[in-house]
Amino acid sequence: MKRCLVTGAAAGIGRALALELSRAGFFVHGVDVDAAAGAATASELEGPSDFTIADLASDGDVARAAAELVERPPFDWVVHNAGINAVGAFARSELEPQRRVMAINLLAPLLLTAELLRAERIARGGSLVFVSSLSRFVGYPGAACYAASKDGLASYARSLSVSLAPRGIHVLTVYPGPTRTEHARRHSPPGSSEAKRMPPEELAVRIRRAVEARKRVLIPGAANRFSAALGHVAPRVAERAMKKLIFDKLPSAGPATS
Amino acid sequence: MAATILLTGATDGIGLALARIWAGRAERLVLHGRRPIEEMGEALFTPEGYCRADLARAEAPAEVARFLEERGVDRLDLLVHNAGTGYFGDTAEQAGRSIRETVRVNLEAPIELTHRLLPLLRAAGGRVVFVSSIAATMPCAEYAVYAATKAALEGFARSLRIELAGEVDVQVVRPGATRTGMHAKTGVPPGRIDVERFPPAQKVAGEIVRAIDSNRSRTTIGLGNKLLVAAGRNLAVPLDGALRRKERRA
Repeated sequence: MKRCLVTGAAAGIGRALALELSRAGFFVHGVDVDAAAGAATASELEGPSDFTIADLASDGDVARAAAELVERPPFDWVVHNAGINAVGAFARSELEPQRRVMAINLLAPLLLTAELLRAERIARGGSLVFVSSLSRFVGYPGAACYAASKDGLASYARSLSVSLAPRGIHVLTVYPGPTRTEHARRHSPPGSSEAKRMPPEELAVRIRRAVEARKRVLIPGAANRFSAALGHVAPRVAERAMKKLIFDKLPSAGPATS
Repeated sequence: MAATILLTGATDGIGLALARIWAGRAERLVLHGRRPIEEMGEALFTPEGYCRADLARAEAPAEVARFLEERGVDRLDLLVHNAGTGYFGDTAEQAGRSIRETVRVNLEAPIELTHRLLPLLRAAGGRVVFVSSIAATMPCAEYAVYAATKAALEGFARSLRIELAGEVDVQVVRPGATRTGMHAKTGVPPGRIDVERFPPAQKVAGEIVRAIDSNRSRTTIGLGNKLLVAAGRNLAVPLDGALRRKERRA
């Protein structure tokens, strides 16, 4: 039985992926901070699974999770999906939530990947998946630290796609745009439309197919591909659009007075 | 030329060269470094103008902010995040401690310091400069975490620039390999590269100063580096494929 590791597997894209891969016959090992939601997801899976409960913002928890994971047989697929956001003008934001964003979204995947590689816990010929963000192409005013973490993750994935080639490990970077998850709902400007967001189930299928086809880049959906292309050829236009669509609508935006 | 400047990582390499350029020009130059002042032989480093703090420690940004406050610095025309660290080698061999330190020094420290000093920058209508690297724009098999922190720093700078437009300027400058002690410090095996072939820190620093004065939001230093960045950005598929083949043969 093939084995996969999915971080942030209790909700959102991670949950959809856990369900999708379980249906596809994988043993699913989830990692999440939310024990109750993790148990609920595990009970919906069609096959065997395991869950590690860990707060990936905590150094101690990351070390404990890594120690637990390296005791298991190698994983065929490792999906770094766990991510959080803290939206608001950087100038007015508190530092602590921004630190958490960078710890969970970037530092934890760097630490876990190194530990899994060191212990040879990513199977030869396996796949390593990093869930970055469309913000890599268009910027994300109002979430500068989130944008930083996702750019860092994309760069790391690109370096590993080269350095892990001799080990036969394939690396996929996913750049989702707006997704219909609780996470996206919490961090969108008030009144934004749900209908245009991609359902996580659809994204999960696209990710599974991209890994099976050993693709290296997945920008899911035509609208997101258009945004990414615009960001590539006309970054300033994309930045202005992001400012108007997101930053200017945030309750905390506008020039801060100190 | 900016009146009040704060420069991090000023004791070696590109930072020291920048400090020497600005020493004669700035009205007030505050330098930051990790080394004790007694080690610094130059008149450039004075107790009033040199703040010693280890950016690998979580308290460092607060210490730097306090240093400025205690000396009555209430406005900053220019904040240059130049301090950086790295690790050269196989990703699987980089210890967790080293990964954490690289993220701390290269990414979290500049972000937190920017956050703390924004009021001073705003008071002066000032400018923040992030010293990145061409590594941010291409695959770096042996520098994966370093490159990730630089790419993250650029991502932060980009979104911050949009947020602060009209109030505080945000710039990124990207040097390539430079003739400094960085390569040896990060663990590049001797003989692997010829550091003497790289441009000297003094020359790179001069170009960085010109890039800052130019007002461009992002500048790659040096023609060869500009070509590398353009290839990393626009020819990713063939470039990465060639690098993978090279890696498999090695």
